Amino acid sequence: MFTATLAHGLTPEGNFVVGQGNQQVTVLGTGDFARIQPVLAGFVQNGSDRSVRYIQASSREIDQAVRAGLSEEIDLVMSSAVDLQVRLINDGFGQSLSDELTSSTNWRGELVQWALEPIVTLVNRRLIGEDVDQLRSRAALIQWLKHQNKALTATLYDPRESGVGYLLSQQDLLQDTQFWDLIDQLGRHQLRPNCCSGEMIDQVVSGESALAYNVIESYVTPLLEVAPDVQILRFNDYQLAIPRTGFIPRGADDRDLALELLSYVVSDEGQSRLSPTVRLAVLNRSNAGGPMKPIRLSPALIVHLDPVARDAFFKVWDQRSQRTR
Amino acid sequence: MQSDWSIRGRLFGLWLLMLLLVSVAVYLTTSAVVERSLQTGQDRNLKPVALIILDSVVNSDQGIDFDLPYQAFEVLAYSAPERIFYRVTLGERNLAGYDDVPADLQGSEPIVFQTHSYRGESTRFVTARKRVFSDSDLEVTVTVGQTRASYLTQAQQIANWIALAVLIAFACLAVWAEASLRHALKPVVGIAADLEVRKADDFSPIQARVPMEISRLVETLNRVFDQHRGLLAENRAFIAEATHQIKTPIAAIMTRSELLERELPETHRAEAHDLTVRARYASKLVTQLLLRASLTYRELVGAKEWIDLMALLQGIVRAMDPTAEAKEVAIHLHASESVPSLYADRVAIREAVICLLDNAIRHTPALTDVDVEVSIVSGKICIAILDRGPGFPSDDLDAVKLASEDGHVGLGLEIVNRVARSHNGELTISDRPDGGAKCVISLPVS
Amino acid sequence: MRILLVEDTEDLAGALQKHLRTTGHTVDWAQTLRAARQFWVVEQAAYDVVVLDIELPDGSGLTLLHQIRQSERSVGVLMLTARADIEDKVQVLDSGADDYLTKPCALEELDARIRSVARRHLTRPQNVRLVGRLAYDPTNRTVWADEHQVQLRTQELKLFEALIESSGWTASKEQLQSHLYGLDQEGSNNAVEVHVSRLRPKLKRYGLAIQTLRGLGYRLIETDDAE
Repeated sequence: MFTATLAHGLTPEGNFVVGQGNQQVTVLGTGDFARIQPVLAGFVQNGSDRSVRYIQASSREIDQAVRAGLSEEIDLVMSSAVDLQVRLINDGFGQSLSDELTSSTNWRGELVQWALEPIVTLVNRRLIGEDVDQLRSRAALIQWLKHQNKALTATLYDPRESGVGYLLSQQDLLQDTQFWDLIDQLGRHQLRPNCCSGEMIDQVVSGESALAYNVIESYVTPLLEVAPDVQILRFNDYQLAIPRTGFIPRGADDRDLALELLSYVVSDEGQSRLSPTVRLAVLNRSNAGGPMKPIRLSPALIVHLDPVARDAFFKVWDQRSQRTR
Repeated sequence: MQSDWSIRGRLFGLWLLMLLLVSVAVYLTTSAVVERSLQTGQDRNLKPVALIILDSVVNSDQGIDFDLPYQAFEVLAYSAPERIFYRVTLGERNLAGYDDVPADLQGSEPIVFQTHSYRGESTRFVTARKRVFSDSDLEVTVTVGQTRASYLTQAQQIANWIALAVLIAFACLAVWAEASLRHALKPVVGIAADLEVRKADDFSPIQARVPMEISRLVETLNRVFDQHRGLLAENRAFIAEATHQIKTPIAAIMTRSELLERELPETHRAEAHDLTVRARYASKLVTQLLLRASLTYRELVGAKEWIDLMALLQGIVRAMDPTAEAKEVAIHLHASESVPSLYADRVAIREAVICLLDNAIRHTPALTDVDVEVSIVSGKICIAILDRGPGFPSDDLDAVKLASEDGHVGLGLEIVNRVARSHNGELTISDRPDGGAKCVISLPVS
Repeated sequence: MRILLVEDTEDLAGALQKHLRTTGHTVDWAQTLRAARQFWVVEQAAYDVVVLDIELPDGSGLTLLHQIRQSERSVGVLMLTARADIEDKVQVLDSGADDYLTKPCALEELDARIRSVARRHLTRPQNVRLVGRLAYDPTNRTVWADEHQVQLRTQELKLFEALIESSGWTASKEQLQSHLYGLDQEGSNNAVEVHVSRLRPKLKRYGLAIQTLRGLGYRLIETDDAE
């Protein structure tokens, strides 16, 4: 089987090819292929005789596959799990990119940020009512929850199940000392952690949950028109954003083409083919919401991946979120 | 005298060598210092991270608890785009981080800094430790590492700037060294220039103010000048005196023998004539010997000046006319074109021409002409003296000098030859195709 | 001629006196500069020529030369020198001497130079014979063009005299030959031709020419192509 040769123990979720050219660049990436496909198509059109193979896998599998030793065929690793990506670079699995690329946001000239996924909170107006307009900040939300006697259900990523959830929780803790108060209040009502963004959104749309905390905005946007009750909250204290990053693994056999692809993705043209929500330019977005706090590409992220840090986190997490269990 | 080395060259060479050594030393030292200070900076960034982790250690039921402080690592991450490694151990047991990070501790130092090659890159590690249990020797060690690439690059960049600065300083110093040497050697060069332009008979002492290093040289030179001046003056006086002393009695002998020749009866006249001829010969010989000595002196003191050759020749012809008249010989002076001024010793040229003219008049038959022709041939002024005499036995000047039995011809030619040479010219002799001798003095137009 | 001989070497002076007297001159001899000055002061009007040695026991002959040249009297001065220091010659001529002789010298040369020096200081006399633009003074045997003497060699002068004496008539070669060398002396065959050819250019500029009449001889004629 083809995929067996790519990496030891990798179980791909999808395997897509864009274009028919003989010069093929192979990408190992997370997320749904659909959102990056227009960019890959643009890249294929821009050159002659190019094609892109996109192998989709979960971020954890990608991390394990890279550590286990990738096949030379993988030219580019693209992932939204910025902490894992940073750790791979820190542990020496990347290689230096071109000077052109290092002018964009990067770490060590090896890991390049090519998209930003803003994080928002989703509410069901029908369930919360007119009070929704008061929920401008996390502190306001906590206060509102405190005085809300009617029980309501909230959902968020389960940090145990979801790497993104864990990452966002740790980032919230770094930004905001009231994070545990928020968990307390949510726990006081009813907190239903979920593994994946799809379920969280579905719950809010269906009215099962009144609120989904920390949802990836780009997943929500397509739903807004079909679900008029659903509304996005952008807190004005701060707004997190997860960078999507890419690097060329050490030993990739078509480094030049991979560089071209990466350069294309961060170029104006490549960015224009991305959904407006996730373009790098989103940082400068002027509509309501607090200061954008994209997670920095910093080796400090590896600390949170340490089992010691995880254990310490979950010790508190379990206490605070336990009440409803 | 050509010299193949100069003081300035040598001193400058030594200067350059020293500057080079100093520059290399400065470069090596400063780049080592820079690398060291950058290393110290990195150590200062690493150390608090390790100490914060170590300070967070508390005992718990399972053993120990500790924090991995995100913010401290973040500060370290901000310091440089370097990879970061850490490890926490309790005794032999790995508690957190990279279990292959070298955390070996020798000795009893609580904090150790080490540089290792880790995961293919030169990495700086700090290891801190402490005992955690009162009843056990078990120690917690915390190691934090950071790769050094950017520090090394920065050190290299600084070293390059230092190298550039040293190089510029080196160039400035080299220019300065050149200038100072030139300045220091100025008096020497000045004296050399003074000696070069001074006339050969100028033996006045060197007056220039000189540094004490060469004052003895100058003193010696002045003393030599003094001696030389005395010798030359003496020599000159001797020549004049000798001439006078020898010539006067010869003149008396000659005049008397001539008188005698006229008074004696015809039978004895031949003997008296013989005496006259011999006296004349002696006189001529003495004259030429002294002339030679005199010309040598003039050559030595350098008596050259700009002279009008045609005017000189006209004077000579006029002076020689009575001699020629006695033999009914006419002297004709021609110049084929206008003759430029000649830089020469007037007296030497005159004596040479007189010598040749005298020869020509003596050898040419009565009632014939002696011609003096001046022409310019390929940049040389040629003074030709032509007669209708028997000519030379050979074209070879040396052979002619040797073959001249009566000697004075030879000596005369030698003097002429010598004068020509001392003016960078030459004397050539040949026979004329239609009879007679041709002597040519050719002198370069200076 | 009356000659003042200034010469310190007794030997040489004696011989010279003897010779000069034999050749018909009157000679006063001064051995020192001082004596010479006295002679000059007393008798200067009488001398035709001064023969002056440069090196004298009590000074340089040049000082006397200077004195002579400052006086009104125009007299020929012939310097004698034994010095090999030849710059003297130039100096001597610059100081106003008419000629110089280096000792030792042949008596013939001395005679020739004394004659030439003496002639130079003659003034043009009244009683002359005019030929072309030239004037001939038979007494002193000098030739003049205006106020200047025309320098002719002895043989040339003799030839000129012979041609003048023929006064326009043809002089035969034999006549001229005997005039040049005397009857007893035998000159070279072509001597007359040589001297005629040398004299011709000297006369030409004064409007005189020597015409050759083949087989007959030579004739002095005046021409118009004078300068």
